[in-house]
Amino acid sequence: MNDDSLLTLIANASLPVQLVMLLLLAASVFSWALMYVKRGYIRQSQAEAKTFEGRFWSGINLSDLFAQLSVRQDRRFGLEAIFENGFREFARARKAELDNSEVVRAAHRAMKVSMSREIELLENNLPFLATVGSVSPYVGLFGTVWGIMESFRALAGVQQATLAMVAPGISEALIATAMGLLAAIPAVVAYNRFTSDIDAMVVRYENFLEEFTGILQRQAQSPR
Amino acid sequence: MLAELLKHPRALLISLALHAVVIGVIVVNFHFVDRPDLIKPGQVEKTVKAEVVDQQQLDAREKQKQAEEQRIKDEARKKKEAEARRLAEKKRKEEEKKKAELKRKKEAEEKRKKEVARKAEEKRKAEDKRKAEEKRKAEEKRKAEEKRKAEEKRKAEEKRKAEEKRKAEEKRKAEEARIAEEKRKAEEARIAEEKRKAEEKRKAEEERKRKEAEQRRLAEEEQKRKEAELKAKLQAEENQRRLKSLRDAYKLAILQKVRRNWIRPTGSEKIPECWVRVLQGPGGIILDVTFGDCPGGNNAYRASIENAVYKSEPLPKPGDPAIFERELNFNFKPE
Repeated sequence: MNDDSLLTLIANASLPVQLVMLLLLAASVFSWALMYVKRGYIRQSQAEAKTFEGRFWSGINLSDLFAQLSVRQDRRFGLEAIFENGFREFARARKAELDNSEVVRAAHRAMKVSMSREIELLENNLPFLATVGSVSPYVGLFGTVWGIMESFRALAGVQQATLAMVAPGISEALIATAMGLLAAIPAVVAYNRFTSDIDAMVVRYENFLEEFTGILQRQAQSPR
Repeated sequence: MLAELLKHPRALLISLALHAVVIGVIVVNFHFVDRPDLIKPGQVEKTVKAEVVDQQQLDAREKQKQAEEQRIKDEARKKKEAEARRLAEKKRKEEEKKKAELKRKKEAEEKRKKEVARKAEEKRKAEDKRKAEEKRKAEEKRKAEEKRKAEEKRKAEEKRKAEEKRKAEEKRKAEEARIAEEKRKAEEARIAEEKRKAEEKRKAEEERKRKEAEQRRLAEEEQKRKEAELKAKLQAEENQRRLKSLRDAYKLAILQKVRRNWIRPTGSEKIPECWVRVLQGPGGIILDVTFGDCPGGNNAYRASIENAVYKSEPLPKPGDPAIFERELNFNFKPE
């Protein structure tokens, strides 16, 4: 019964349909790889935020915390990066003997920039998943329509048309739609999941930023 | 997007492997249950051409056909009769020829028979003579043969006897050897058995010892575990106590510092107790001060407490980072 296997169906399909299938397969492979990478990065960010918040609210002196961070050599991301940039700006502005409100504003600005960079890193490449999720069913449908067109055209030459003559062609063509859906469904699920996770992270960053600004404001008022 | 993925080749590999597995499963398991035999294009069944036929025309055609058939039949019959006549003539002539031939053959046969009889007689006589001679010779040969056979038989008998004697001897020896062997084997088996028993005993002993040791070890481990548990529990309790005392000290230090910084507002006679909630940030920075239950406290009194709290910034550090609290609640009472 090897004659009926999916593989022969694909091998018998016409070239445009085969190209569409190849495209969809590539899209699926890339979107899964991207999901893997993205999931890892988001998890890492969540873990980092949790540990850093724990450290920040453990009553440690802010300059001590900053000194601990500056010693480390690795690249900082997430809350650590926001904190470090904000505090560095705060210290610099204070040294420049700026107005208290100016100092806080400068630190706030630095943290905003840092935060938007972090968010950009989190959201990086997500549009690809969205594109795969929304476009691959259409691409699959295109392959199917093309395949059906061809099998009807083959029908034109004969006098007695039977369903049995077009059925294999249509069956072949429908594989393209199946593949399109197969590529799209995980991509959409992952995209929705990631966007909600990232939104939660953004809220977390914003909360931290506001709280930290408040603390800096208090610190600016205290004597130097 | 590609650059990002190339930075993580592992992800790409995992994804590829996943797809390979899925495709493999689908290819192995995917069969259409009942696929009909396909009719190939151009294999359409033969069409039959239909046409309208007139009845009269059909009748005429039929009559014509019958007359034709009659004619063909007559011709065949005539041809057949002529053929039969010709064959009868031919047969008669052949018959006559055969009779003459037969007569000639008979005469020749009689002559040949006489000649044969004569020759047979001569041959028979010569044969009789030859047979007598042969019989004599065979008799002589038979006698010589009998003599030779008797001699051979005698010799074979002698040989057989010698052989039997030798075999008996061998059998006896083998029997002796067998008995000795059996005896030896029995001895060996006995020794082996003894050895085996000793071995078993030794093993059983070892097993028993091992079990005992195991039990001892388990008991010891259990003991140790219990001790460790107890120790951990004590440690935890100790830690808890320490933290509690530290927390008490921490709160007291904060309260004392605030009290030191408090300036009694002028004109107030009665000084009530007041619940104060302080929100602090890292490093003992004060973020917010709010009042809870504060019966009879006027605004000036509250302001004086708030001032005292802000003056106490930074608040004292806790002895252990674990007991740091973002939100502090304490009951402020002067003296």
